[in-house]
Amino acid sequence: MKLWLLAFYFFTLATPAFAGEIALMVNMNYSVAEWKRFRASAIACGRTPVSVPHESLLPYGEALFNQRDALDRQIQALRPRLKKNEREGMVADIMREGLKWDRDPELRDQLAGEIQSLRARVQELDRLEREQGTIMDQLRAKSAEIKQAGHTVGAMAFSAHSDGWNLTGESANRLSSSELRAVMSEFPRAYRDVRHVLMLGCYNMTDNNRPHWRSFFPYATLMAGFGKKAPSRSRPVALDFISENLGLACELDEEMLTKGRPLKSEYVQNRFLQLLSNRNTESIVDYCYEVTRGQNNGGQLDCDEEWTTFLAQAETIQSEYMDLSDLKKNPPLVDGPESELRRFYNTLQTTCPAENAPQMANEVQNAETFRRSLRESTIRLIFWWKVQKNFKTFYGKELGWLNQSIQNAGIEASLPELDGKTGRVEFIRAFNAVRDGLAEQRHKLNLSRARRLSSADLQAVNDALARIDDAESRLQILLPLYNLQGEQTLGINMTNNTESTLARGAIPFNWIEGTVLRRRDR
Amino acid sequence: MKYLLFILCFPLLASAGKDFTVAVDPNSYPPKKFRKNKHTLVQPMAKEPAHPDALPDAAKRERVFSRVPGLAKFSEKLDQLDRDLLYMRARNNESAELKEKYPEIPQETLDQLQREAKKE
Repeated sequence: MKLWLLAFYFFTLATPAFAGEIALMVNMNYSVAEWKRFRASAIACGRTPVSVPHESLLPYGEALFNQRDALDRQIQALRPRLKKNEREGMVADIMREGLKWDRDPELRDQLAGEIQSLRARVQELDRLEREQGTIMDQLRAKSAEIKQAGHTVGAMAFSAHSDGWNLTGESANRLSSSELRAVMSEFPRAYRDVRHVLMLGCYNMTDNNRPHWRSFFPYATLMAGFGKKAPSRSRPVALDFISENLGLACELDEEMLTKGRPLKSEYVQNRFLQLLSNRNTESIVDYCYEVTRGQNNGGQLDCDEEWTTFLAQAETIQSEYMDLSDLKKNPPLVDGPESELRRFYNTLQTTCPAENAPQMANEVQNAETFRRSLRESTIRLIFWWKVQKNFKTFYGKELGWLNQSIQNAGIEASLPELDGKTGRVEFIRAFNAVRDGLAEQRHKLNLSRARRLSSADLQAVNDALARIDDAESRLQILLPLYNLQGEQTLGINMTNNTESTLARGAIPFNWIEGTVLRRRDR
Repeated sequence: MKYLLFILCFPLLASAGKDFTVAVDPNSYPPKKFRKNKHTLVQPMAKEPAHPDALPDAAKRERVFSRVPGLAKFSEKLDQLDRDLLYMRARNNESAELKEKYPEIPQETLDQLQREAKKE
């Protein structure tokens, strides 16, 4: 089905062959070699290549990381007994401290020249990165330029390390999924025609993570990357991966246009598997939603890696759906297999036990408690629309009294109707506005009490404070809906009792169903 | 007989002379490491039963599913969320409500699932 939709889009709505398109590389690893290969492929496909960070910065970054790697090799030669992670930590400390590093003074003195030079390069790159802003800032600025020029982005490549959902570079730069989505949402026309996408880091294209990236680029014909392990960018196969896959994708797109119909999946898979860079790596190529896997079927994640990707996803989900100080997204109106929240819930359930992940060794209990709490919140979030309706049915009278008490308290903010159509973002913002409005009003009234007031005025202030007390007290009934937590999270182990569950601050599990609840009679 | 009586009396003997009993959650802190004195008896906290609406862990859910003949061909299409919902509905909903939600699953299969889910 998806193949036909994609073909329909391609043949009817898409712009003709790539003229005026931009090929954008987000080069967080500052790889000059990858940039050159990407640029050549873009030009061959009739696109204009651009880089974020700007291509003039790439040699600074690459020279720094090459010098870092050379220092690492020197330390390995002089201190062969050091384990790899100890040595990497040592190099990171040296980059940060320069000649002030004193863990191994003899080594420092032997390599003083190299350390000084490396530290100078680090400081220079820091300065350049500060001038340019974060990767998100740079991407936003570049997107604005593309929009200004009336162009669209036809291809993208991301050269960065990945935890599956979020990207980090060799320096301190970082681009989270949320940030990328924010930029793409700000410039929808610029990104609506992205057709070819390369994800050059590890983990991006595993079965758990591929749907996440697909949600950014639903109309792309090509999404290519790696499962468990991406090849080092210094290896020729990593460069060939860029040119071979982009080149083949251009060719197959033209073939589809010429033939006027989708290509057969077996044919597509064979063509991609003929590429050495796919056969010899843990590549995963999604062409028109048909997936072709390279070595080891894309690789199997071990338990540590499962937890790394799960925690990365949790960070994004919490930031976008659960951060009550800055909620960004509503749960989808209609729950379905494409829902990000549903996919996250599935990841929650399929991630291995924390006790099997060495990185979680000292945190097993906390990790499982965290997972359980997220499960309960996520399922209530998915069914938010029913939960709010049930809440209103149960607390109909109390919500009426609450709205009246807010009006009586004299603040401007108000609460939305919980009719099953109020988005969570709207509800949370309204709750916060009411709560903050009451607190501000209370503060003003307390200040006025410090002045010399007549007894009548003092009485008026006290009456106003009493109305604030009343409103704040009644507002508490909304806390379970605000926090959206479950019984296990709050340690409620009593038998099923709606009143006590709500009193303890949890939303009863059965409120996710479309059950009509009896109104409370008071 | 006297030895049996002694064994039965042992818990009382153990606590005799203690002013305080401290129950420690072993998941939070090892009871053996708890600093104690002659006035205090330290023992592991008894595990509380889970809330009836507690979401099942995957192993427990699959254990229940495996005991229901004929369920697999319907449940294999379901993802993790839908499998959890099937389990929770089987445990908590009335038979008629369950049938309404899952019209494609035969009644006897649903009945068996409800029996098995309520056993756990």
